[in-house]
Amino acid sequence: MNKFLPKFMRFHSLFTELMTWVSLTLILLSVIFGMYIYDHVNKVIEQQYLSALESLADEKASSIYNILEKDRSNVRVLSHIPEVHEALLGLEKAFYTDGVNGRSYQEKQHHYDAYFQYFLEGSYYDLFLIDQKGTIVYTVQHESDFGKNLLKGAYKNTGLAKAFRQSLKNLEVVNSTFAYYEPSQDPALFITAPMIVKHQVIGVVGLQVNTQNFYHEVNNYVGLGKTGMVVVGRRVGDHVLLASPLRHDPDAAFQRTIPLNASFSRPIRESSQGKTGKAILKDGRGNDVLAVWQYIPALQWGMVVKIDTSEAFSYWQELRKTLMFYIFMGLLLLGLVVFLVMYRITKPLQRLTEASAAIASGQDDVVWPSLAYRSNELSVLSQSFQTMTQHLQASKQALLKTVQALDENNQLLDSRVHEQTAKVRAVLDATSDGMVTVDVLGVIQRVNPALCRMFEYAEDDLIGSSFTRFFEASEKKTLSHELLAYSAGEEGLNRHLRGVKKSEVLFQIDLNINVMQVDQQNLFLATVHDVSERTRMELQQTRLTEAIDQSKDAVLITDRDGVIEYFNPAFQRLSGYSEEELLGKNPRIMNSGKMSKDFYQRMWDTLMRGDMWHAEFTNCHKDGTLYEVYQTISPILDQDTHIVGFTAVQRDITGEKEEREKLEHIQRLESLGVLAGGIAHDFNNLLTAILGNAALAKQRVDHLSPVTPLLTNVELASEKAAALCKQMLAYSGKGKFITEKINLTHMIQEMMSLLDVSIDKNIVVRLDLSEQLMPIEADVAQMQQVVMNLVINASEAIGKHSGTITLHTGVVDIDQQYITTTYIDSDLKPGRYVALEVSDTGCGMSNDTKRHLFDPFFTTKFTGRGLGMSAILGIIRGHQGGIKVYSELAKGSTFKVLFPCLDFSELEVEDQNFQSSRQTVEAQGTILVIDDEETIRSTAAMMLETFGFKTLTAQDGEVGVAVFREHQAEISAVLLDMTMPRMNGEDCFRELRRIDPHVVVILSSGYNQQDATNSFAGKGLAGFIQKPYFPQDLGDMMMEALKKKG
Amino acid sequence: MKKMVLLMIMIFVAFFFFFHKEALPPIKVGVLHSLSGTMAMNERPVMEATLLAIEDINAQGGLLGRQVEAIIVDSESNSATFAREAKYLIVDQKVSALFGCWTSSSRKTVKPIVEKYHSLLFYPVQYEGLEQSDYIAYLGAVPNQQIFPAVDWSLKHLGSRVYLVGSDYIFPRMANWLIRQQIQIKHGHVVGERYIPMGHRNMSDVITDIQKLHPDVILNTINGDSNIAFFHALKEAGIQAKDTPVMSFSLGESELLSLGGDAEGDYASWSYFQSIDNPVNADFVGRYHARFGSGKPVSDPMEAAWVAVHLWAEAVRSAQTDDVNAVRRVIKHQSMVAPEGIVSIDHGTRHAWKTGRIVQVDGKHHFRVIWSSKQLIRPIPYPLFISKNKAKSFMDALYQTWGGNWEAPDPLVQGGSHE
Repeated sequence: MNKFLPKFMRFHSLFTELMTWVSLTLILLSVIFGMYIYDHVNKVIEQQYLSALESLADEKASSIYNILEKDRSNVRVLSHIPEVHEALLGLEKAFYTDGVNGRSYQEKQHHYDAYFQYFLEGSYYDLFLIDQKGTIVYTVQHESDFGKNLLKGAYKNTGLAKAFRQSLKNLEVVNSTFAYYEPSQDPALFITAPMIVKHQVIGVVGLQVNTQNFYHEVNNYVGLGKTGMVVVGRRVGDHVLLASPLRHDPDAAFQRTIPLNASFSRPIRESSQGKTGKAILKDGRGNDVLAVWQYIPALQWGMVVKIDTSEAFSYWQELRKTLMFYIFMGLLLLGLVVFLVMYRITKPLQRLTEASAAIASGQDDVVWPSLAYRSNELSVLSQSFQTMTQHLQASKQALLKTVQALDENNQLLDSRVHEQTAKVRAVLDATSDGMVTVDVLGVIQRVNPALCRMFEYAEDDLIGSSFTRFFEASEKKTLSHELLAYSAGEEGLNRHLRGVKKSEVLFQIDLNINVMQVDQQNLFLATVHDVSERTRMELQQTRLTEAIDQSKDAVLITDRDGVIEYFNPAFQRLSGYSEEELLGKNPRIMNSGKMSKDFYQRMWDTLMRGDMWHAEFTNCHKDGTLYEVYQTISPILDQDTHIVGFTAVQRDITGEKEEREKLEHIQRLESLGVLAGGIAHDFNNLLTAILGNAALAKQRVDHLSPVTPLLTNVELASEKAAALCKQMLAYSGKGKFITEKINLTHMIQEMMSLLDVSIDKNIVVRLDLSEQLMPIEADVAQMQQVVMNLVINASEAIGKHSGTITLHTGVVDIDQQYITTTYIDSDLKPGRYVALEVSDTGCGMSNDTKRHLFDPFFTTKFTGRGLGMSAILGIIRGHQGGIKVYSELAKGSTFKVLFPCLDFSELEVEDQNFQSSRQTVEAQGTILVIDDEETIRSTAAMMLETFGFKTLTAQDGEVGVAVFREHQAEISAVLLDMTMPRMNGEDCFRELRRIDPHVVVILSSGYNQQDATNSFAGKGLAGFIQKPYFPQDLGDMMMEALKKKG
Repeated sequence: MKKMVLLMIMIFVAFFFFFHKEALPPIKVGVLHSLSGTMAMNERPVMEATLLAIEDINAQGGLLGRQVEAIIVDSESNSATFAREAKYLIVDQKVSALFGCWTSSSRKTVKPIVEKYHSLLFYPVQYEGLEQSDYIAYLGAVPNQQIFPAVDWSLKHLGSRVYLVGSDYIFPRMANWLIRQQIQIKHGHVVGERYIPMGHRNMSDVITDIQKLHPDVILNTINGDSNIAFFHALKEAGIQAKDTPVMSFSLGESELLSLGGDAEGDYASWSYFQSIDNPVNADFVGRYHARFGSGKPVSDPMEAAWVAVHLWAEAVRSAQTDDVNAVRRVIKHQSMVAPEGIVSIDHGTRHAWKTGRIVQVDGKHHFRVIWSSKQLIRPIPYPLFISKNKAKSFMDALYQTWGGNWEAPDPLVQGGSHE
């Protein structure tokens, strides 16, 4: 069957391909894994061997160090032994007196020989005692160096001489390095130590180390196998001089050198230069070696410990060979298994392929290979092919039958086509759209009845005429061109234009032109649709939409469920949401939560009844801020009066509402001011009585009486109450009594000493005062109160921290726009103002505090009454001034108070009224006291009497005028109350003046200085006294007034 | 088919785990220096040198395939903070080694901590000796490597009447105690001795003393920014180096820069100076300047700190682990070619073998080397000519007098008067 297979398949069978790929993959994987593992294991093993060698080197270095350290320690001990000191001093003395052969020296030498022999004990070769001058006065071995000087002569460059000099200089134990020592004819190492007795160096003791012991330790090869070696050497010029025998060269010490630039010299070079290291490299013999090297500073030696890699890695190399053999065998076995599996898979496939190829070549008697014994996909494939062949035969028969049936069907279809054509024509005639067929030259071929009706022509008028007659002259040319240019195959031509009826009436039409092929000729089919009604509707709709879009009020339309369907740009601006965020959403997203459930319930009830709902809403902007709208919501009803949606029109009233609230707030405060003023007035009346009586009572009792302190208490309490009343009056704006022209700069400068004691020491007061400040008309006491209150508030805002309060005065020109930013703007007029600024670097105010700053009884202090700022406001209002507040939390606050500047004309007038001099005037004459309050009347009378005045009293204005008229001659002055029933102070004053134009009248009131100054201005009022008053004040004022009168 | 896919995934996962090397966690080391307070001026550059060395190591691929991470703490020039931060680094941060301290008082408070927790401190500054610990590697010089050679040289070249001045803490006190012993043996005379509280700048008493006594040479162990005040006061008082030179033991190139011309002609002794001319030093100074700003001076403790990190790294490579105990065992075998020359850790004392050098400040405010030891000087924490017991009693007495501290209490804080 193989002959049926295409040629290329016979050579590239599935089996060959699979075998090739699987084998290649296996080989590749084995090589990669094998190399990786081999490399890794190799590195680990190398590292381990190097580490082991390094430990050996460390041990070697340690043992060399220990030997040396033991020797140093021994010398150190020797240098401290008194016998040794004695030996040196004794031998030195004998050496210089008798010489070495003298008797005394010999005796001493004999004595000490045994002693020092004991020290040597095989560990040391020799012992030296050297005096300060460098002479060896004693050695055990008595070699040629004995008796010689180490500072000069042949031995001055020996290791012993160097060690001696170092010991003397450094006062320390010193060891030389190994060097050839001529007297011993052997390499030698010396250790010396100075001998210090009572802070004096008497000499040096030295030991010569037994070289063989030392070499024995260096050349101990335990753990270094057969090829291991230890090389030690010292750098001398560009060579390293070996300092101990080598394993292969027992005579190497101080005989052999290694040049530093030799290729194999790296370990000994680096170690003798002070470096440590380890590596696998080639040594001087050309062998690969593992080497570890270190520096031994005590001997200035480099030390290399090395071993041949062949020996170090011998076990690993054996192991590697065995491992390779097993890996190779394993791969071979794996190949065999792969071959068998591939063969088993691909053989049946090959048989199936051959059978398929036979069928494809047209052979009908193909016998399918039976693969039923296989349970896998191959047997299924075989069966499927078999079934497919059978189905193919059956299909061939069925196809023949179908062709026959189709012929019969075609004839039937032809007759049906004729029928359908007739029906189509009927439809065209019946359609409401006009239809017309036009040839390529624009000549009308056919029209339907609807077209004739639309253009009011008869069919016969149209056939054969130009198609463009249906259109305005301006369109005709364009359309002709378009028709000419228009060719079959393109999409239809659609135009919206105006048609012309036979009666020359214009109307809007949609024109659609398509090309069709009739009898191999191009024809245009034009469909005309009358759209005049639709166009009108669209225009109306557009106008409506524009009106809403341009409306400043926000408009929103929802469906019945409240889902937003439309909104205008004003609504977007107001709510802050974008189109995507609003469409399809519920207006609930703007719900601020400020309206109650009940509110919404009533709203929905009203709307669902079909009624409109108007109300103010507080809505939430996208950015979270709240805004107020006045909203009208109306349901939208369909023809059956069913609600299909809602329209909402919103007007933004946020600004209006704020304005309204501000106005209401100011009105409330004003009412409160009136109330406070009223209360203060009444209180002042009562306090006049209390204070006056208490003062009088005090005068009348002995000052030692037990009642006196009680009365003092009454006075003090009353004074405090009076102060409180003063604040309340100030707040009500009715506390200003005596105005004069004052310069705020001068006033503040005078107040400085008072301010300094009122604020904490941690605060610095900075003055920035204008020297050319315009004066203002103001009450000095109240101005002082304003400054004091502001400075004390500033000081409290700074608290215990350090900070600065700045007082600034200057002149500003303010306009209407600036006025609106001040706290009181109702009475302020544009113009020139004197400004007083108090700034602090304190804690600042929150927005909430700022809002209530001027409210009476609002306080942030623990003990305050909350009247300070209200009083300031009252005073400023009373002076037709304004105030601005700037504050930022944690940064500080600035209060800017504005007072109107005086005109220059006003400045010309020098007011002399208030210049006073305190001169004692003898009190004489009669005073008329007019007051409706009985207690005050009597109290005032009593007070005046204590000064020596006589008094008359009257309970109101009318009575007062009557009494005055009666006693005019004896009355020197009148004390007049302002507010009284029947005839008030003003009227009474006028009457009194009428009787006597020079009458001395002192006005007294619980409040209302403004009325006093306004009503009495220029009328010769002699003075004003504020209730409550002290007897002394009343007396002083009265006497002052009388003195002026002269 | 599903089985095949599963098999493929398994092979892929096996491959991934076989070849994928997980990123190893970094080796943490503690850097313990004063970044604020009176010692900050001295210690901050030392910290920078330490970081430079760590960056060198990381740039070369780290240690044992791991990066080295420096945990930096500020010891605020306060011994108590040193102790607290050392404990934090060892116990909380589990660092493999500590690099830090400057003053002996700070080292002496950290010593019991590293010993208790079996850690390892690399100490980069010269000090008074008389101490040894298995848990500290001392990279700075001990007196026999710095002070004794300099005193010896001074007696020989500058004169035998010596005035001692120092900061009032353990190093200057002990150093001067040792100097007194040495000078006695060497036939010199100590004409006066005074101490300045740490961080103080009032030098009037010292200057009056010097003007009165006219010593041949002043041996200066003042530490920190008081040095600036001292040299300035000398200049103000008209005491010139040609008449009364100063030999300083804690005056590095960093401080020299702040002195301007105040120290011209005076002497200093260290193992390392920036001006040492060799390729290793040129490379070290160049890289420090490139990293932390050119023109910044490089001092002995900075070099020692840099060397300390590299020696530690060598030890880690040798031990093949960053385990503190293993590193402690092998650190005593380490040596390297440092900017100052060969530096090698001594087996027994764990102090470094170093080169001794004496320099003079030239007209350009640079140190010019005028003497250096021919070979490495062995570190000897306990000198031969002093009694260990006497030294210990003297040290203990100071500790007691200072109320259990290694530095004298500040007289201004205490309300006492200046010495």
